[in-house]
Amino acid sequence: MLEKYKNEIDVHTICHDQCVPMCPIFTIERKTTVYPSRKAQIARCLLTGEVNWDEDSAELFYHCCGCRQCMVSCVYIKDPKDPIPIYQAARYEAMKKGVKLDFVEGIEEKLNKYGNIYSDLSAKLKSIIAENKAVGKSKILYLIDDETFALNLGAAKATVKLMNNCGIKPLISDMINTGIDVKALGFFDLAQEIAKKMAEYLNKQDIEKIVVSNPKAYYALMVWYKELGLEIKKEVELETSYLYDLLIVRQGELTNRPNNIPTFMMMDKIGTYQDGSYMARYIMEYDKPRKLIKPLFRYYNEMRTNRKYAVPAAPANYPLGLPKSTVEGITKLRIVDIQDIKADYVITSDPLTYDALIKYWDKNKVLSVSEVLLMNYVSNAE
Amino acid sequence: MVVVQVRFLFVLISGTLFFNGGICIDTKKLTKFELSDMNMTVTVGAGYNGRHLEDELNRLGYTLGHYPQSLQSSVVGGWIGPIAIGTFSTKYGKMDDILIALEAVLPTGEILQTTKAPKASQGLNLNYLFLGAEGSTGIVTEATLRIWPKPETRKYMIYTFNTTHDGLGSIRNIMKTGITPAVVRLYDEAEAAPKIKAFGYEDGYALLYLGFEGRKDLVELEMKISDECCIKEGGIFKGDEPGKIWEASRFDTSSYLKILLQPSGIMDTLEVSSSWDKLEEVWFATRNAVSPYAQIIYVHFSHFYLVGGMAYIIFALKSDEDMPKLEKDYRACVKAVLDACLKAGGTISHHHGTGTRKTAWMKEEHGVGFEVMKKIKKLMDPNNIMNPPVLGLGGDKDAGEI
Repeated sequence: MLEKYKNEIDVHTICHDQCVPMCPIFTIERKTTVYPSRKAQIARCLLTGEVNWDEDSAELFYHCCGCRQCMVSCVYIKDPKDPIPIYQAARYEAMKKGVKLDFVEGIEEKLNKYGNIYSDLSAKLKSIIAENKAVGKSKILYLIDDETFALNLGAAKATVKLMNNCGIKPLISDMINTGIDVKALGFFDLAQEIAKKMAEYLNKQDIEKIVVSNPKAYYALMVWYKELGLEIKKEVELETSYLYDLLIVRQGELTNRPNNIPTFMMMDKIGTYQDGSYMARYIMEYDKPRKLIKPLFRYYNEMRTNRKYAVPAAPANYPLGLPKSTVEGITKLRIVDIQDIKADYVITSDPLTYDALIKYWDKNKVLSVSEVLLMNYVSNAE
Repeated sequence: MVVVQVRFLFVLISGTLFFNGGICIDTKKLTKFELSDMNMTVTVGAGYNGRHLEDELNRLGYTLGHYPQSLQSSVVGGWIGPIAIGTFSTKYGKMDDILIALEAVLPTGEILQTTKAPKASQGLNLNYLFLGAEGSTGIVTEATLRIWPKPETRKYMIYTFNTTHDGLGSIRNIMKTGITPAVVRLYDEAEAAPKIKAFGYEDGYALLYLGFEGRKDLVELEMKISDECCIKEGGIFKGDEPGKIWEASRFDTSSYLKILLQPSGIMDTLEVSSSWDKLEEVWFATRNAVSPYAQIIYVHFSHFYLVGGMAYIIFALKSDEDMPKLEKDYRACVKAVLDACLKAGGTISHHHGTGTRKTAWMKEEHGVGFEVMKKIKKLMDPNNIMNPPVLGLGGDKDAGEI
């Protein structure tokens, strides 16, 4: 598998480490082996046999937060390639060579037991189905993925409530795992199996549209599934985009709003938006979340880096193999930027970012897009 | 005895080699950051990454103004080793201008802290035991650097000149007035050609980029004075667009990849400097010295002082023949350039350093001074453990294949 990336590995090593400062893992850990060009050099040494597969060499390839900062900030290659597939291939290759790290075995057990990498999420699924109370049915399926269930159930609940308030009762997806995190960990065969089942499940539903809670899950359906040759035969829309059209809170269109469209309060606070890595560098959606949340704040400030170059506040993928201090360090670096603009609230579309900021910053100041919309929603607008 | 190398210079023109089975010390975990806005200094660990440092200073309202092309991958200690320089150097200076004081661990185990006074008169300036020593006299662990307020504005002015001679004349005029544009880059007629063509300027002309930054009113005044100096030498004003493009892509050297990735391609750069009276001759002599060997020769001047400047020679050799022949030609090319440079009155390195490749010219360049350097090295590093082969100070026997 790693052999497939031989030429790309060479390209990633040509520049003598120009990616160093962009790598959040290096910025925290300060280890020469962790930034992309050095990882690629070690991958090459593994291919040539100069370095052996063992726990140390395998563990190195988990020291990546999947943020793609290295790719978009590359100053050396005109059309930079994403190096992350190389690391995922190395993880796969390590397991094939019999090097399975303890934390990988632990996650495999969870996958076998719960069908996802987190925990038993069935109670949370039931609770959200119970709260889905609008009259009638709609041709919309709401796909809440395992990451959203595990890390930010409140976001999904708020979305369902907003949809219900508009008279829409979505069908809640029974399947919650797209397989993309499983792939990221190197379980390629299992990931493909999960993806195939998910595609079959979605295609057989009597619906017209799939609204996806998490940018990562949206990327899985729209990009990764296509790479696997799996076609989703329904319209797929990211939750943020769906809410943008459903609620019409955006500035400039207020005068044309129909009477039955809900209105929103404006808070006397400073708000900001944290582009999670999947929004910023995988699906590159910057405007819609901003247009949704900006009218809800009297003051709206952007952080020092934002949109495509937004410094991540959390790893893009489940941080398997990353020390707690590294994960915490990534978040705390971003908190400095949040504090610089004196933000009262940080809004994000990314469950991992949400989870990291409530842990390491302030649980009362972090909201998902749907939560902040619901918080400011004026219920008597009808 | 263990031979020590300090890994702190990650630049395109350098790297880390092990000599005689030595060890390599990685300083990247030395990340102290202590800003003094009163003194306009920042004291940082030697392992602080260049991009990280500039970003952090910008966040706090300051700049170091030091933008080497290796900014992304180099660290503070690595800047001190070869007395590095950045592309905005005409305003912000070279590392010996920027460095106020340092802390270093000596090969004999003592920790040396040099004085943090702005200027002093109490003996030798010990910073110079490490500036340019390329890690051969000890391990720099911390540095106090001069900072500036983050500039209010940044502007560019571009001019074409009939000849490189005219362009150099205009820069000399500017420097004499006492103003310091941040960026001064003069591309000779050959290096300018692709840019001249792309922008539709006068075919066969040299091209000058001037960049200014700081307070708006001062920048406006500097631009006015510089314009007068350029017009006087026949410069034709071209606006600011090429400057903005240069700024946006100044860390991008991807075009070199076309040569570097070829099976039989070698690309390298040499940077030589001299006083004003010899600068044009150094340019002329080094350019001609490269010609018999290289298929691509670009020369530009990008660092200037009241008393002189620097010529930067980029050359590429391509061959359909085998690598040994190409390597032989490459070595001959380097020798030809450095011989020609010394003969014309230049110095063999302006900011890349000497390393192991240019040691053969040290004696010719420094004369008795080279013997003095050897004595200093022996005194500071009696067991010859610190980067023995660099600068030719630790003896050829440790140098490996140079």
